[in-house]
Amino acid sequence: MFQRPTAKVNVRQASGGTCILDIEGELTAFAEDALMAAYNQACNAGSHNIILNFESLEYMSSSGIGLLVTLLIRAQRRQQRLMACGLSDHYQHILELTRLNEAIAMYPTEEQALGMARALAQPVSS
Amino acid sequence: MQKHAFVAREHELAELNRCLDRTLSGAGQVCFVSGQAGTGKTALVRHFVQRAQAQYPDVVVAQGTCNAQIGAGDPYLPFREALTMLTVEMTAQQAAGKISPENTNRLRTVLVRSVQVLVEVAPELVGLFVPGASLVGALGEAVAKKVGWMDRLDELAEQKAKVGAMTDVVAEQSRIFEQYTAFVRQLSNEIPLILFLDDLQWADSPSLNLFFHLGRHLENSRILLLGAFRPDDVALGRRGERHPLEPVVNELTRYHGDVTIDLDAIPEEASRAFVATLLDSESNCLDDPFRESLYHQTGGHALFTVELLQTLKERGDLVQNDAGCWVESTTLDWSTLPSRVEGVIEERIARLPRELREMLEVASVQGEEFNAEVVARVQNMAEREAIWLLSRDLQRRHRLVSASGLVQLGRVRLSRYHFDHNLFQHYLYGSLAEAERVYLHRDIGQALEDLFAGKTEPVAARLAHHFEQAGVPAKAAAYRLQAGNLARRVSAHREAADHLTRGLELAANLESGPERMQLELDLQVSLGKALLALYGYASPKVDRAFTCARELCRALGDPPQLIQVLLAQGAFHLMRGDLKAAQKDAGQVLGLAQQAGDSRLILTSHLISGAAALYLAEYDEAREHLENVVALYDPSQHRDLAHQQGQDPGVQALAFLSRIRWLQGYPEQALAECAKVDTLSRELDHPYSSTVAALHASTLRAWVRWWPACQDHAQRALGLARHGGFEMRIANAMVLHGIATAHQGDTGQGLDELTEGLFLWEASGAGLVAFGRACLAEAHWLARNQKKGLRASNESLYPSEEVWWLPEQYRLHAELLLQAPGAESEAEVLLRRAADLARDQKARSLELRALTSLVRLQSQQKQKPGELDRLAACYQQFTEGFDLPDLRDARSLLEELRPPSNRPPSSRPQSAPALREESLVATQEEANV
Repeated sequence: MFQRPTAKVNVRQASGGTCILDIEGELTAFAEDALMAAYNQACNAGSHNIILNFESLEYMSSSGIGLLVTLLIRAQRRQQRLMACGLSDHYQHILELTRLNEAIAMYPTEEQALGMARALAQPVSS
Repeated sequence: MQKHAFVAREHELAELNRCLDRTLSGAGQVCFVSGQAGTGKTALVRHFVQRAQAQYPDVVVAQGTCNAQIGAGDPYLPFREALTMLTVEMTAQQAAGKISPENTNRLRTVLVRSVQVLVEVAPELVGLFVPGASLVGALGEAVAKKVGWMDRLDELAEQKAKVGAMTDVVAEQSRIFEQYTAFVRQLSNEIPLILFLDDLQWADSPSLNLFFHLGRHLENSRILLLGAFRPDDVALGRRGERHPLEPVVNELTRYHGDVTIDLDAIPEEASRAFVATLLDSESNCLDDPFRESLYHQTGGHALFTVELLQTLKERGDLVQNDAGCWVESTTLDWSTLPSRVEGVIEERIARLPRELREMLEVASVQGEEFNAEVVARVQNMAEREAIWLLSRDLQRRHRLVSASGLVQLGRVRLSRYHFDHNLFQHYLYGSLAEAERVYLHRDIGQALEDLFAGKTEPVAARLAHHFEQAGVPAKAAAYRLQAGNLARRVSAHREAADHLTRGLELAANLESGPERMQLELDLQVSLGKALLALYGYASPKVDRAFTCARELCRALGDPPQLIQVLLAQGAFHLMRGDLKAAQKDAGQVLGLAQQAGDSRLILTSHLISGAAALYLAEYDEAREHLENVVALYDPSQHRDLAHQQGQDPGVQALAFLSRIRWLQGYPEQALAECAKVDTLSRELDHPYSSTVAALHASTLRAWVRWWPACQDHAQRALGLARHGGFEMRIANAMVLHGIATAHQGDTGQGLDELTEGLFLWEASGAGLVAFGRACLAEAHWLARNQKKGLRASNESLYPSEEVWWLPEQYRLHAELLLQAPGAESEAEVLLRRAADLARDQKARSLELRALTSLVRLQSQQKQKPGELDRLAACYQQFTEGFDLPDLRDARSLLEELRPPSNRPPSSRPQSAPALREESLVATQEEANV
């Protein structure tokens, strides 16, 4: 009866305990299963840093923002760090408006996010 | 060149005088003095004040100074100091270090009146900002009895002492602001008041917010609000963000015009004049080349120039001739003189005898302000001797420190001194080896513990700082907890969260075991409450704190804190939309609370259970719980729950009951309950509860489709929520304002507001979004954006536990489908489903709407409306609200489709007045908000 928007989330493993979740399509309430399954996959791989790659994001509703908060709660419970990259100006603005950027660090590119994840993984030299 | 010689700065003094003149004429002013360290900000203000007091016999000054070491962690410190000056008697000697003996005499004259005003208009500040016992002591019983309000003061002091023992009693920030402002405004009706807050670059955020609040409420008052700060420190920001003083200065400048006297921007000509005037303040024969060299060396920097001149005299580079004139000696060699102010200070300190230098080193570890008694204990000398050396040698002879008076901290009275400039303290502290600092911090911590003998709350932030620097994490963490609890009590939640987070970091270094777990549990529970006030119940940060606390409770075998943790988790689950989990938590709390006979916890657990049942559409169960809340609720006993938990249970329960009444088909009773919510919230005078009441009023108007009233109430709620910083409620109000705007024709604007409101709401972590999402779908339907509307509606129908609004969500989806031809059958199925679900939920108002839409669709399809009788039956079950749009719609459809003999009567008795859409008349109070 209802046309369900589609979202696909691919999981890629990177070095230093980091996983990248590529979010494609529409991030709405209907993306919950796909996003959480991808997150669980990242957890099973023992990731400390999760990078959400929004380069192929077409649309995000307020429920999509709600999903990001749910993800954040789960990540914080497991002491994982959430990062975001590839957000368009519009969605960067939304994350700033909602102050989610205070909890999810935003980077323009995947490379920059990975660089930061690597830097954070390195032990502090004495 | 005598001590406190003040020269030049005529232009700046004239500017301050202009501010004072305007203040005295009843137009209160705000003014900042900015400049780098040592440019003479404090000296300028002190000189201005002395001149002002010489000219005007009634001007009184109150001063507070922020603290470099723990400033941001000691909420309202400068304002507390200023209030203490106004309400606790000081001797001339005590206050001399701050302003002048003359000011002390004037403070004494107004003391009784200022305490009376405090008790009358700012009773909540007694105990929070100034100890009640000090007030009673300061006045003397005889005086207070004579004026007839001793009983009230005694009562307040006693009440506050009791409250002080309950760490969970929180004073709303807005009330603190309002009462402080009311106090100084009322006092200024009788005496012109200069309120001077120094070193604002180190101020805590609540103090800066209060400064801003006060700065915006100076009209028709005789208050001159002065602030001094170092712009270079402000430019560095705080915690990686903009310094909180920056927007305060910007906003007050926007409001009052240019209000800053910048001592860094003094032209060269004026700086040279300053050097010349300083030299000529004593008889001298110093020529132009000397003056040029002095200017060249110091650049006209006030402190540097004053100190360099003193050094020249002490080194014998300047000597007095037989006539008493200062002249250059032959030994003067400019190249051997320090080129920076720090160098001059170093030379000054190096010339001190060892005993005095050691005393100052101990003092420097305490901070810019320090206590003689602590110095005495650490140095193992008699207190009297320490005071004598500080006052005689270091104050009068070496001019390095000044007495600031006695300070009453809890039950302990301490002699307070301060360095004449904080660069002295900075130099001394910097000159200590790291190991020396560590030991001195430890010794100072122990000395303070001894002095305060178990009642350490007033110095908790200082103790935490000293023990942290001393590398004693167990004590530092315990004092962070105490400081955090104290900060929460004055609604300084951000500062509290900082203390408590740091406490947890420190606790992580302790040896594992039950003691550490107990400390961590206390820290997590308190942190959770502070974060809850900052970010709302559904925030991930709040969840993290209470999840950790829950784990600690398990590990500790369910200690008494468990009940608070469960309650917080219940509220968290409720706001996240995890309704069954919320019911489970609340049920557990109810059991424990009933065992403990704790009516407050019983009441709160009923509220959570009732709310969860409402959103699950279990209305009978919801009513039972909520009616229990209403029955148990006693405003006189439970009023402070609003402050502890952020919301008043009475207001909340009545609002939920009112919603259930509407859903079950009693719209007039719902509106009557809504009026009760409003009345109670006004009686409570609690901003969050007023916001909840306004939101509920708006929601109910949306349900009965009174859109202008819905919009007005939403606007009022938005003002209240913004004023109080209630972010989730701002989101709520935007959604309601948006749907009301869309219904009144401006769908574009309405959709923008709705979208932003929903983003904010969901980003707060809150669930319970069914109504908001349905509003978005409805606004798209109004705008005839079928595609976007269906997308929003699809999302609103995404399965969740929150099913109470589902009948309306199905109905809206059907209406959206009908905006294009060919979907009639699908729409009919949805409308039937909406009506059946509403019937099963006993939500008669939603059933009527669904049936009206269904019958209309069937009639438009030229088929016999199969549900016509069902609509008529549903309509006939209503006993009230016949003038409301939903019932009118249903009735007109029935009249159109049924033969005249079978038409429904309007059940409203002819004599009863028709229910009309109200026109909202804002009270003056609301208009002000």
